[in-house]
Amino acid sequence: MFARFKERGLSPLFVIVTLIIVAIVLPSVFIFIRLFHPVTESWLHIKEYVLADYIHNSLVLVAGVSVITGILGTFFAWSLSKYQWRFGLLLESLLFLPMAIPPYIAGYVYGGIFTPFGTLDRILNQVGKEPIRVDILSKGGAIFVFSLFLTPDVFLVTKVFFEKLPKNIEESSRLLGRNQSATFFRVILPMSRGALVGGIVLVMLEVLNDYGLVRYFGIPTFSTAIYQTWFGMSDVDGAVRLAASLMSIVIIILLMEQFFRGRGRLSQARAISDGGIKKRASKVYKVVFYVLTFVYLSLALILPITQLVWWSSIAKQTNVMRRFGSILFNTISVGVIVTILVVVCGILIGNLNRLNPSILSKIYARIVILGYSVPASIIAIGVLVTFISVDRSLSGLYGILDLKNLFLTSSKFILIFALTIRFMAIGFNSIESGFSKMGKKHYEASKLLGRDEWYTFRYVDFPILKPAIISAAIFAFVDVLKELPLTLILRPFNFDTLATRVFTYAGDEMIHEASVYSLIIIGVSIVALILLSFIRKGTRI
Amino acid sequence: MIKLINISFQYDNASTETLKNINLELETGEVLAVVGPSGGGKSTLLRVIAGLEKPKVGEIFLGEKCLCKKGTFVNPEKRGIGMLFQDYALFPHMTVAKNIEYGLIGMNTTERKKRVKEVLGLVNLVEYEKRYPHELSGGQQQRIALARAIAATPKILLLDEPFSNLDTHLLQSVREELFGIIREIGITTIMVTHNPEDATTQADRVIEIVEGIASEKNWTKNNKGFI
Repeated sequence: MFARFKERGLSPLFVIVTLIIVAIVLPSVFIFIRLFHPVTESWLHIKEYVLADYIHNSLVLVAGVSVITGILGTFFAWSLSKYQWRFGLLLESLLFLPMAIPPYIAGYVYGGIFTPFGTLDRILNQVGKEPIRVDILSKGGAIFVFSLFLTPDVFLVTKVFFEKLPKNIEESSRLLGRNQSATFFRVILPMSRGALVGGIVLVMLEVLNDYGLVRYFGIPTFSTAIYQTWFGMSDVDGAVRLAASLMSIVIIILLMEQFFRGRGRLSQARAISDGGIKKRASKVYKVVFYVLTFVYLSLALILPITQLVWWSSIAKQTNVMRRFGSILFNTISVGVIVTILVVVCGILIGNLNRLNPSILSKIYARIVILGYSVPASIIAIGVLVTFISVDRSLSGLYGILDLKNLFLTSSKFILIFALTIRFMAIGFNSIESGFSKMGKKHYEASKLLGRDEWYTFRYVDFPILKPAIISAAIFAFVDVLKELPLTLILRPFNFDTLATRVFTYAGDEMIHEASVYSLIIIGVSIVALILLSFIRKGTRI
Repeated sequence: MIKLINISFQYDNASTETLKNINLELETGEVLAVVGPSGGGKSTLLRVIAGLEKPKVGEIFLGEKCLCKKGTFVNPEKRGIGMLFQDYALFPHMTVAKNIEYGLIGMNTTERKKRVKEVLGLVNLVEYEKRYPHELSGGQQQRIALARAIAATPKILLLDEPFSNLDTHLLQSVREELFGIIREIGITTIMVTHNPEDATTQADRVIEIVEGIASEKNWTKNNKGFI
C-alpha cells in the first residue's frame, strides 16, 4: 500500500486529508494518554460511590428510548410505506418535523407543563378540577421526552428500507400460508434488521450525547458527570476517566450494531422498489394508525409549539432583546464557519476516496463516520486536553507576542475546531453519497478532454455535486445551531449562542424568554427540513 | 501511430494481472476491434492507453511521443486522446455546445464556436446545440459524445462498448453512421466490443483478450497481422 503511494508521489490531496484525520483522532489520543496519569482521589470517590449510578441511569435511558422509538418509528414507517392513507404525504412530512425540536428544548416545555403550578395545574384549576401530579423530572419523564423527539430518526431510516423492499417477498409469504402479522414478524422484520438497528443506534448515540435534558431533569448521567467533574471539582483526570468509560459504552453499542446487522446487509442489496403501489388498510388498522398518529403529533409537535408560542407571547421584551444582536451574530458566524469547514473537509475526503481508493482512504472515511458516534462530552474533554497541552507548549511564544496564557483554549477557535470534528460525518455522508452517485466518468471525460484537476472540479464535479453540497451545508448548519453540550463547555467567557441562551434562561427559571430563542431554533430547523426535502426531490442525477 | 510494448497491468485489489504482456501496433487511420469475454481486460486496455490507469510495466508511444515508460507517465489531460465512454459521460449541467467547447483549449471564442458548428455538422446535429443531454435520445447523445471526443482533433479515438446502450433495431444504422464519420475523418480508432458483428463489419483488424492475454483473430478481410 505504501509502496504505491511512494510510486505515485504523495499527492497534496492525500497530505491534506491525512492532516484532517490526525486532527479528528488527536483528541481521542490525548484522552488515552491521560488515562495513564496517576489516579486522583476524586476519581476514587466517583468510582466507589457514583459511577454505578451513572452507568445505570445512562443504560436505563438508552434502553427505554430505544424500545419506544424502535416500535413507534417502525410502525409509522411500515404503515406509510405500504398502505394508502388520506393525507398520507402530509402525515409523512409532519412525522419528520419533531426532528426539528431538540430534546433539551422539549424537556423545558414538558417540565414547564407538568411542574406544580405549571400549565397543566392552571388549566385544571380553571375548570375546577384537582391538580394531577406527574413527576416528569424523572427517568421515566426523560425517556418519554427523548422517545417523542427521536422517533423520526428510526422512522427515516426504516422507511427508506421498507420502500425498497420488493413486494413479492410479502406476497410469497402470504401464499405460503402466513397471515399479514406473521408475515411482518417472521419475514419483514428480520429482513429489515439492519436498517432498524442502524436507526436505533443513532437514537442511542443521541441519548448519550445529550446534556441539556438530563441536566434540567436532574438525572446524573455520564455527560452531566463529566461536566461536573471538570468544572465543579476541577479534576481533569477524573473527567478523562469518565469520558473513557462512556467511550467503552459507545464502543459496545457499535460492536452490537455490527453483530445484529449481521447478514441483514445482504437483503438490503437485493431490495428493489416495486413502484410504490400501496394497499388499503383494514378498518382496525386504520383506527389504530390514525389514533396513534394523532396522539403522537399532538405530543411531539402541536403541544410543544403551542406552549412555546404562548410563553413567547408573555416573555419580557427587555430580557429577550438583551444582547440579542450579538447572540444572533455569534450563532450565525460560528454556524457559517463550521459549515464551510465541514463541507470543504467532506469534499476533500470524499474526493480522495473516489479518485485514489485504497485501504488507507477507506480507513479515513470510516474514522470520519465513527467521529459522529463520539458523544459531545468526550469530544469536549479530548479537545480541551489537547488544546491545553498545545497552549502550554506555545507559552514561550505567547510571552513574546504578549498574548494571554491558554490563548487558544480560551478563544473561539477551540469551539469551531470541536464542532467541525463533531459534525464532519454529517457533511461527509451527504457529499460521499453525491460522489458515489456521480462516479468517476465525468471526471475522466474531462481529463481526456485536456482539463486539469482544478478546472475539472470547478466546472464539472462542483456543479454536478451541488445538491449534495447544499444538503451537507444545511445539515451541518442546523446541527451547529441546535448544538448545546460542546458549545456550553468550550465557549469563550461571555460568549452566547441561541442554544446556550435557551439553556441559561431555562436554568434561571426564565422559561418564557427561553421560548423565544427556542422558537427561532425550531423555526430555522423546520425551514431547513423542508428545503432538504425539496432538494432531494429535485435531484436528477 | 500507436505502439504498446510489453504492457502489463494489475489492479490493487487483484491477485493476478488483468493485462499480461500486451504488444500492439496500429497504423494511422486503422480501426482495431478488441473483443473477448467480460472481465477479460478489454476495457482496462483502453483505460491504460488513455492514461486513466498506470501499467505495472511496459511502454506506450503515440507517434514519436512517449506516453509511458519506466519513470515517465503522461497524464490523461496531456495525451491528446479522444474517448467515447460506454455511457457517454456527457456533462449533465452543460448544453450540447458547452459540452463540445469544453475540450477546445487555447482557442478564442470565434474559433471555438466555428469548431462546434463543424463537428455538429459532422454528426448531423447542428440544430441541437442549445439542448441539454437529457433532452436527447440515446443515439443522439452518443453522436454528441463522439463530436465532443473528436472536436479537439485527437490523434487516436477510443470507443468503449459504443453500442451496448442502444436498442437492437437502432444498432445497425447507428453503427454505420458512427463508422461513416470515423472513416470520413480518418482517425485511428480502437473499439472495445462484446459483439463479434461490430468487429467483423467495421474493423480492419480484430484482437481478442482472454484473461489478460491478447491474440489476433482472422475475422476480417483486411487482416494485417499481429506483432
